[in-house]
Amino acid sequence: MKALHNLSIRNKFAVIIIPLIVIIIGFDYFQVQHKFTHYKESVRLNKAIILGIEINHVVHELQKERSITAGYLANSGNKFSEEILAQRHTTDSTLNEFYKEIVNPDLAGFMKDHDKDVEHLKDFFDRLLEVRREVNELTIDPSEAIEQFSEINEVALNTVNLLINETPDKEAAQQVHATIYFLKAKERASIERSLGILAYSENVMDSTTKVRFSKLVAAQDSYLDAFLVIADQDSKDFYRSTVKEGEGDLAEVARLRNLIFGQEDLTENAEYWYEIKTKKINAYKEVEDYISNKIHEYTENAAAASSRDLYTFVALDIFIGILALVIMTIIVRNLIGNVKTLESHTKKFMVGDVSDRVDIKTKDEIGQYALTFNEMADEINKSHDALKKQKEHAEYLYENVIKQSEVVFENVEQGIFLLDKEFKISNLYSKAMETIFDNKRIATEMFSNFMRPYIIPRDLEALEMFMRHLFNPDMDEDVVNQLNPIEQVKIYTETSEGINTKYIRVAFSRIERENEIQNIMVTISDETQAVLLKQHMEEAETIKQQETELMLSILKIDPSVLRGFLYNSRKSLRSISESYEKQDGTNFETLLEFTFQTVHNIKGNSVLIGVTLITEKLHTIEESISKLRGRDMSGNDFLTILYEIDSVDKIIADMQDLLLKVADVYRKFPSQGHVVSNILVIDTLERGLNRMSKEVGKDVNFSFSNDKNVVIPDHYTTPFKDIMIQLMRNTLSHGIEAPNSRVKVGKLIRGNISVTLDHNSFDEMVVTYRDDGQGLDLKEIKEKALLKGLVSEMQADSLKDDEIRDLIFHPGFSTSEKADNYSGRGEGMALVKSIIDSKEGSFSISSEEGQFFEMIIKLPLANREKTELA
Amino acid sequence: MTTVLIVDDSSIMRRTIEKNLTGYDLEVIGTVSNGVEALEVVQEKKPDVITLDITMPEMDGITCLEGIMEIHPEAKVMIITALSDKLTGLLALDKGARGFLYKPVSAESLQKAFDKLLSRNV
Amino acid sequence: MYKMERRREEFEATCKLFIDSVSNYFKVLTEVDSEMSIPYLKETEDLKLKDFTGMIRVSGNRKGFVYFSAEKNMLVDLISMFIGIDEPSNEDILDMAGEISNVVAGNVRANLGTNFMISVPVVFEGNPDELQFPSNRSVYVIPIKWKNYEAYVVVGFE
Repeated sequence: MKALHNLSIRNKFAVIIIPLIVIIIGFDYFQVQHKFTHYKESVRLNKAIILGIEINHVVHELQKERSITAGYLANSGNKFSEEILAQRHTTDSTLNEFYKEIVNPDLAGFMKDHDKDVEHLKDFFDRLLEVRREVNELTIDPSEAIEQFSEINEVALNTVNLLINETPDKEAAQQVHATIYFLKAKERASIERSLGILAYSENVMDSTTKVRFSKLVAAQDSYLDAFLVIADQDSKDFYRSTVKEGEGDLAEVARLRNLIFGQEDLTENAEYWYEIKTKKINAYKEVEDYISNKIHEYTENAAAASSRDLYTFVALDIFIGILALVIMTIIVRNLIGNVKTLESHTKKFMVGDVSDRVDIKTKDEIGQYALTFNEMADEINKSHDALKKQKEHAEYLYENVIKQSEVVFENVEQGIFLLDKEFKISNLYSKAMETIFDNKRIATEMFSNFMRPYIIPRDLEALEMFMRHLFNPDMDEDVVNQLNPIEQVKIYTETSEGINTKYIRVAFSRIERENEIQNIMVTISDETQAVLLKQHMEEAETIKQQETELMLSILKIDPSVLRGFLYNSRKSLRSISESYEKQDGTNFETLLEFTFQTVHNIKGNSVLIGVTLITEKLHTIEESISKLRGRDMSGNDFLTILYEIDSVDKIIADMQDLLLKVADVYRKFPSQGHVVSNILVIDTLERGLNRMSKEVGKDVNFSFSNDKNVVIPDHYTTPFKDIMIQLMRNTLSHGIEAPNSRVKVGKLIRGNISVTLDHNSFDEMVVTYRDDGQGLDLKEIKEKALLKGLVSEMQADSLKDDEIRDLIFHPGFSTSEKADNYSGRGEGMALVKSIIDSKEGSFSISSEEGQFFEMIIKLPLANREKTELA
Repeated sequence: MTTVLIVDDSSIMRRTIEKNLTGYDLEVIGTVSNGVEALEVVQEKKPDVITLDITMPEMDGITCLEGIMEIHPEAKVMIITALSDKLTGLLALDKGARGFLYKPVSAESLQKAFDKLLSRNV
Repeated sequence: MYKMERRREEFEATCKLFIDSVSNYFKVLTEVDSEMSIPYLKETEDLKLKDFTGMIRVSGNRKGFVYFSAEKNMLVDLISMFIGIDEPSNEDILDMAGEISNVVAGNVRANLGTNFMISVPVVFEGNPDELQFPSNRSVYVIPIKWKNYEAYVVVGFE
């Protein structure tokens, strides 16, 4: 079924038309065949009748010959001798006609079908010669002769019957039957004539013949009756007008027949019987001919009619067939053509040729459809135009609005996107998002998931809460926005190049439509540059301040002094870390003390030369260490100290850098190098003393005399300064009394420190340091030394004053209980001694209790210079 | 008239808020310094608006807010706090607060916040 | 001065996170407490690491690196303690060092403040030619003792 539906129209037509054509041709074939059969039958019948007539002629002559022969034999050859010869001649001539006819080429086809019948008949005709010979010899009984002739006739008539019977033409069949009946009746009449001749010749009729005779007459009448029943009116009329029973000769025949029936003596002449009877039979013959001719005529007409019929039908058939084919072809081609036209136009239309129109002239449904199609095409064209305009408009919009916003989205520096109610990031987001977050997985991500790697869990939790409130229409947007947890947030993004720190600002704003919060627009700006710049500026400011401070302090200090200080300080600081590294065997306490001493020593120097920054730093370290004293310590505690030491180290390193720059300046102006450096050293010492004295609340004058203009060589500036600083520190802490004490003993409130430079004959630089303080308290020194375990009690008792004085140079000696920036804990004098020793110098001290302390230091000049020169 | 309760442990703050609200169609029916007292007043007087500090002794603002919402859910609570922790602020919104202000508050910001709070019928 | 103070605190907090992470590792997983020895400073070029080292990159307020460097025997001991292999392959030891570094890093990350961020550790054996430390800066070596073995937490910040 489906296959049928899917056939093309052409094939559908074929499916409809081909069976029809087959049916029509089949029907036609049967019609033609029928007509042809009819025609053939008519022709056959016509030919059968022609032959039948010939046979009937023979039969008629044989009937006469039979009667004459019967008369001849009954009269033993005395009568009918002439007639018999004449009759035989006539019979033969009809026989010849018959023989001629059966070889007639017209009958060739017909003869083929009836060959057997005709051959059979010819056999019987051939027996005639034998019968005639026996008649001539008079060796045959007349009845026997009649029998012989009758047998031949019977066969002949049967043959006729066979030939003309069984025609499908009803009317012809009826006439044929009538004729056969009539022929049979005539044959009976003829046999009657023969028997009559026999009876009249012998004047008597035996009973057997008589029975036969009456049977003949009865049969004759029956056949005639049958003939009259089925024969057509015309034949009947002709029969009645020709054979008039009871009139003339026929009445004589009836009288003679009755004589025979009457069993009377048959006195009448046999020839008379023959004559009279023959007249009747001739009348029969006339009728027979009439009927035969009529049938012949009829069949001839029928054949002609059926032939006409056949040819007319065939001609008509061919004509109508061709006509039908032509019409069908036209219609089908038109239909299919139209459909094809429509199809091709539709296709063209579909491909986009909207101006295309269908031109189908027919007024059928397809024509209507084509019109509809054209109308539709017009409509489509119209809407197409409208659409095109709209499309152009849309394109315009796209170009000018969307594209612009896309361009904006591509180029805007802010990260911009929308959040939906599920907190998902919109598909469309500004390109900056990717650069800000170094992340390309943005679209449709949950915003909180997206932010997870960048912010701390607490902020993330807050963000989720915040977004929920943002979408809550009950909440005021401004109120909620005050609680934006990522308003300003620092994020870390990881790229292949490393981790980037960024400062971003995230702003949220509601997008409402029809009083409903549809989306939240999120704007993210990368403020890293700005924040970093600010930080950088702040840091730069701090550094500048530090540097300025450093610079100022450096400028005030003799560079050679400072250089030495910085160098030594770093070395000392490093020694701390080194001692930590080699910690094995030492306990935390020892390390802590070592740290403290080292730091303290540096601090003392820093105070003296006035590097406040470092002094402060070092003091902090001392504080930290003090806090740890006596506590359970862990490695971790040292981390802080280490950090602080490191930071001091860094400051010192920075100062060294600065110093190099300053040194450059000096190098450019070398002429007054030493003098300048001397002045700087003295200035440094003076300022250092001022600072220290203020701190401890003691007023001290500083007097410096250098009458011989001794120049402190560069390599001595630092040792000189270091020594002076330690001495000054001691003076301030232990030498100079508190102001009220000084007043009590009659001293000036202001203490005095004098430093004198000299040059002796040994090419030594002689430095004399003297203060007007209380001098060395030998008792106290001894006690301290005992306390520190520097000497035993026994030793202490036996110590001379000089030896007691020397104790102050012992490392670890300290006379002060209190620690501050400016007092030493005994390290001071030990340091002084070690410096002098390292320079191969010498020293001496003198002191008077309550009066003064003096120290004379001699440092070799030439030696050193020589060594340096060498 | 709309009734207001001010809850803040700082007396200066309480006075500032009260002063800034005068001249408005509001009646300050109480100023209390801690959450416990606040709950008592709320129970008794059912104020329309409550300004609430978060960091307070005895009872913190969030706990107090929960208490207020339990006994007087219609109250419009405005958080006024120096606390810069956003999560706590958001938590307050979760618990039912409808306004939020950071200290120090100016007269202008307070009035604006009140206008907003009262115009929303939630 | 205030700024300096804050910086010191930050530095200490950062170091503490790593030290605590390491000590927590030993405490929880081995039930033998580790002990931090006195730390000291080193120049980058003088630094001598232990046999196996996991390197963790730190960024944020303070940029720099933290190494967890352990002697081979310590790692071997840990391996035998954890998985019962007495003669582990070099690869196993590297894995172990990586594992500790990962846990330490993970711990630190979990306790991460807002101010810094740390990377996934990179593990190596021996002393590489160039260590990744900020230049011109001191490197803090924090020795950690566990049983009789020693490991370093090396901290180098800008």
